[in-house]
Amino acid sequence: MGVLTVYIVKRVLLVLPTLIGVITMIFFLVRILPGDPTHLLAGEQASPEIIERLKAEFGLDRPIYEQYILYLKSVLTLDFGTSYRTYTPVIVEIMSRFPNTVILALSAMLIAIFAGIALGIVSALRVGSVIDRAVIIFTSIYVSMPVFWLGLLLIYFFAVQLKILPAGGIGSPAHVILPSLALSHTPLSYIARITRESILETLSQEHVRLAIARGLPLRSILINHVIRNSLINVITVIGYFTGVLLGGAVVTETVFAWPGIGRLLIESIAARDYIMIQGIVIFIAMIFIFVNLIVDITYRIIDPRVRL
Amino acid sequence: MSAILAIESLSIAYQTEKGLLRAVDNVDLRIEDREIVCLVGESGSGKTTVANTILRILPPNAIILDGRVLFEGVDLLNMEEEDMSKIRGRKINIVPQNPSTALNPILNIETQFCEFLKHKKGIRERDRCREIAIDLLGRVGIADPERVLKLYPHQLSGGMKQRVLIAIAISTSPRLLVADEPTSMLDATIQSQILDLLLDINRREGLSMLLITHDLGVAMSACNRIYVMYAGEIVESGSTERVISKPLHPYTIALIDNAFLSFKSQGIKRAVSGEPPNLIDLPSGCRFSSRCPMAFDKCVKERPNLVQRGIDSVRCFLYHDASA
Repeated sequence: MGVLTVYIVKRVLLVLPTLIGVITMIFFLVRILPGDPTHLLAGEQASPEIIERLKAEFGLDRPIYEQYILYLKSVLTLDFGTSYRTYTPVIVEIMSRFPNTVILALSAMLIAIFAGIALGIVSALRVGSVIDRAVIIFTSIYVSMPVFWLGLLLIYFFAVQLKILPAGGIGSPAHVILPSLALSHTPLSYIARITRESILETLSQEHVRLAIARGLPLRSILINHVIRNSLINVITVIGYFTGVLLGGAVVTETVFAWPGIGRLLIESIAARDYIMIQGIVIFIAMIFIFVNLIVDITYRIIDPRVRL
Repeated sequence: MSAILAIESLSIAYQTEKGLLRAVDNVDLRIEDREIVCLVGESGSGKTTVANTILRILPPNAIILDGRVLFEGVDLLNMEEEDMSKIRGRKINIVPQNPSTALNPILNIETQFCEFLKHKKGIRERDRCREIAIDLLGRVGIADPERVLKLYPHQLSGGMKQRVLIAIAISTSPRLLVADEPTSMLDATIQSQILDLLLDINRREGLSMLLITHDLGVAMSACNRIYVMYAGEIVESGSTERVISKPLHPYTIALIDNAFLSFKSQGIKRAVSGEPPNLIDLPSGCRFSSRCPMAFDKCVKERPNLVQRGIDSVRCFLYHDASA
């Protein structure tokens, strides 16, 4: 087996303990919360017999370690229980919303990655120039804009004034444009800055200076030695934001009436749908673990020095 | 003998916030065919600026005030950038100071070797490139070149990396190799191995070499001729034998004292006391006068000329009368 394969296998195996850790933490966090979930379900006036029956039904009368094992088993098979609010399995609810979140998150990340890296490269290669300063000022302002305000601005200009794009909801590719633009502003600014910094750092490195002294063509130096090396840092940022955005964008989804995980979470919190909230939190954690896995493997492919 | 490289009255300054820093002042230097010439001096004396001028890789704040750098009779300083980049890596190549940072950490040796061969020798086929690389790695004393080609820089020792870099440097059969402190970052035992390798290459490949070093010991064991540089100026030059056995300039004498003292375990290293002059605000007299044990009145007032006697030269008033 190649070194890379060994790394990937090791890294995938590491997912399991992380996952169990997360589930364990959430299980016990919920257990130490004050209040009894059965009271919540049955209502304040419920008789002790009903409470006992409910406890038996949910397995809450069993010892805690048994409950824990049971819970672990069901979560690992993606069984998050049934929503108090809609009486549908939590996983079904999540899966009906998750594709929307994926579409929004990936379009936002595509915008952020392409525009961010392009801006970062242009500004680093013209360091100190007007373009460079413009990029720095733009990204500083852009990243500081609250997303709800940016969202409203976009709706005002493109939907209300110009009437060329829908203001909210889903249904066509055009619906994705405004929310993904709004959502991309933070990752875009970070990616642009990190790209710029890493390129500047790489440019001053000895191996790049040597490549110049050896008379390699500038294009080749930039692509093979500067940009490629700089991307190592950028990938970390891309991975982080991909994870964050896949976990749902509460504000953006609300502003644009986008039915994603973020909205589902807000709705569930409003309805005190604890089973649903718990399921969404674990699901988001799983997404994060998965994205991290992809990032680490990509990282290792680009940089052979990475060790587990 | 014909000169491969002739640097004539080269003066270079750096634009700094405090004013012009005169890094190199009126330097003449010749390297004959197949010769190894050493440029010796402490850090900040302008050695590296000279090397960077030859390859024309000076930082943007450098100003070439005067002089010519004739390579095979053509002035490199007047050359178009496009032509210059053809000379870099082909006719003049470089061996870097720190092998550990001189290779791209995320590409394996084969990729880096082949990239160079592709651009500098037009070899595009991977198999052909591998063949050439394996042969060259063998010639620089790497026992298992096939395996080394597949490795990444962090999997090689410093000495191995320097061998790889030397193999890349000689792959285009350059006429001149510029080696800026090629051994100073290596362990003592590896140092002498790399130095031997460079000498061996000079003999076998018939190329000339400019070896830049702060270490007179290195210069002694490797060079045909030595130029001693101090505060941007050449203060003495001559055959290695003559410079070591009969140094003329007080600075050279101090350097040699130092080099030999450091061999004795109990010998207290007598550093050349004092600091080199500020290159932005140079003294009016001899630049070494403030540290010179033999300085007299004239030394502080006037600047000595470089007195030439055959291949020897010295910039010191102690020898002005003899030449007159």
